[in-house]
Amino acid sequence: MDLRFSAEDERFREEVRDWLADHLRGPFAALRGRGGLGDMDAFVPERIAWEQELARGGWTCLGWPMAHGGRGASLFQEVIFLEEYARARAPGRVGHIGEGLLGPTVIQYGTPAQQARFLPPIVAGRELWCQGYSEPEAGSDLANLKTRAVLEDGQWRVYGQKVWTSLAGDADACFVLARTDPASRRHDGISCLLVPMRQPGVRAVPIRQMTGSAEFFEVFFDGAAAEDVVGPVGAGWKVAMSTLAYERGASTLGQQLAFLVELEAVIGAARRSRAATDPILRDRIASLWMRLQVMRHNALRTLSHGEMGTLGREAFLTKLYWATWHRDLGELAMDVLGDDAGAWTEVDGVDLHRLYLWSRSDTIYAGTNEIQKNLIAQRALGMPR
Amino acid sequence: MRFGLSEEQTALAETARAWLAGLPGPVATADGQPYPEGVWSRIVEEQGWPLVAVPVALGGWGFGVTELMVVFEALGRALTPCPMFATAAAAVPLLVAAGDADTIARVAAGATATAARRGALVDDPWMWGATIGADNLVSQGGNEEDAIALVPDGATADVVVAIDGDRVAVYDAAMLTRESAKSLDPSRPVARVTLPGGGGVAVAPEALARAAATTTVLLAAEQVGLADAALARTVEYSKVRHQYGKAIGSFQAVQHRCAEMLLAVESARSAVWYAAWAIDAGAADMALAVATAASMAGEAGTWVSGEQIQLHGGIGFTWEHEAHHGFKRARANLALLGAPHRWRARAAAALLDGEGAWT
Repeated sequence: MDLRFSAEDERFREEVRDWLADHLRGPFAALRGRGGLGDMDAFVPERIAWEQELARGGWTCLGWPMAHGGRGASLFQEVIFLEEYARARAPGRVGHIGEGLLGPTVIQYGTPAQQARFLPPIVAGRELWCQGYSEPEAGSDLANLKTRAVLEDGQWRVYGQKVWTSLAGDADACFVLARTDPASRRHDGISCLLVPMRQPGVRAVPIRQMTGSAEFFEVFFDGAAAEDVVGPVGAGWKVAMSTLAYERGASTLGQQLAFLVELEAVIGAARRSRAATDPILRDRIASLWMRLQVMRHNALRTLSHGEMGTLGREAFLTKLYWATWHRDLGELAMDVLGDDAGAWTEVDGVDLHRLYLWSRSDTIYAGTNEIQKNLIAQRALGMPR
Repeated sequence: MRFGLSEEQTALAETARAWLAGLPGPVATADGQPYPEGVWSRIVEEQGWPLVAVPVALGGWGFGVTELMVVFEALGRALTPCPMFATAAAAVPLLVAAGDADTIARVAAGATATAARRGALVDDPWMWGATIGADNLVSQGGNEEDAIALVPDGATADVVVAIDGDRVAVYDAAMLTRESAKSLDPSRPVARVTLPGGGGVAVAPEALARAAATTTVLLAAEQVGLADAALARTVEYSKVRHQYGKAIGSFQAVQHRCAEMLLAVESARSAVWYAAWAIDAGAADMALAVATAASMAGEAGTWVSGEQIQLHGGIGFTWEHEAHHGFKRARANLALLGAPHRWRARAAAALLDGEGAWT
């Protein structure tokens, strides 16, 4: 156990903190605290400009190898960056899908030509990506996907429908999982196609959620031309699974700090009301605070295992843990507001009602709590299918 | 930065686990028999565990609470019938705080010890419930000055260490009135011990606080160990027990419960590791870290060991099956740890009222 960052890492933290303080001002000052989960459709053009500002400072794609335009940062430097980013309440990123999902996939599976074509615009924040995986009949059961791609005169064309695609209205391109072998079933015969969004065969329709905002889209493909295929044709399932595995656990720590900002707002609301004297609410506040501390400890354990090239059982718990925690925070926020919960309320820059409503999605997207428990039981505990 | 055990600590954990597997399990004392002959002397002579976290200047090994924590997790897993908790987790940290090298030397030579708190508490909010003889367990005896505390190993320990306010007194147990009680946990006997007033030496509040934190974290580590063992036992059983032609472990109702148990176990483990580190490092948030560990491990131990009984079905309710040992130990530990909601009440005071000792 050694929970202190090295002097070099602390210097890195200073650098991040100073840069954010210097740049998150002027036209970008209004973006503080905006564009996060539940608010991803806010200030999109301004956040694209911010993405490019980050790129000019060298703060995009930190963990990528230097040969591909990244910074070659260590896992803990990524953690530090994300922590400081959350602490500064810098805006929700718009380039995270290219940086976190497609980029690493192209680095692993792409040809040198594909790497030269697709990676630099991601690093520069000039091309935004969205992810075309989920479909109406393929949510938790992704292998049930029906979208197909057909080779017509040497050109792959995509037909079908994707759903829950974030940023689809603003993204330049989408990486689409589609069936390229019509005779195939389940995991076989799927490919990962790179499809420009701004063409006649693509239509993105926003989905208005219970929060009132519209951060996700349905995307309809009707003969849209793919620019390229990443990985071998037919190997898309393997490519997709490794895409989902690139998350090294660093983001959980940035998220933990963002959650702390929210919890502190709830505590602030409690202090200013009768809730602070209610023993049951006091117990729930302390419980959520403790669980949030442990969220950080669990994440640091996972990262420490990762650095040693091992996988601990705690790694499987991450999604279930934070999703459930965040939903409980939403409930607590409403109970702390008490009589005032009937009207939308912002406390210390945190919109508690948006938090409450949004948190209902946390336990559903990226693997529902129920699917997470299946995975934990079968993979971490080795229980029979 | 590394959140995890070092190579040496991992080796210690593996050694402790393997070595304890060769000792008698809790069945040996299940009918109220005393601890099996020879177990304690082997622990003292072959492993020297009671001295692990004692400073070299007081005759110990000079390792940290983290090393001893690793041993206690293994003890919780095995539920070895022995006076390790009372001696090494409850009494020795107080002897260290009091600088009592003579009594530590007696422990090194094989004496057993226990600890109890009598009467008034140190004026430090987080001492509440953190030591044996929590307030609700102390009652007045016949003599106005006497207090009676329910003490683990109270009838058999050679030495009783009593805390009274900021004073620590060491008694030869034979001089005290002791009455065995029927222990909730037959693998760890308890007795009502009458503690006289007065005497002892004054100890700095910081040293007492550290001793109480140490006791709490070691008990929490035992809770993690027994919860982890209960989960492992349940998962194994779910693979071999068949109903409706299938292993019950393939049913989602069972899988989801086990997944939640793993969440509780690993989260409590993280909390306990962090709290042990916080004590060793003298971290500013030690008090809150200990409260988090006590609250989470306290609940994980009782809840997971109870789920274990439910998921074993009828066999888990029998005396012959081992499930009840951990279940009883977990609840007995909770009585010593203090109720999780009380630890949370203390944390809430820091978070909402800004009470100094906590922030």
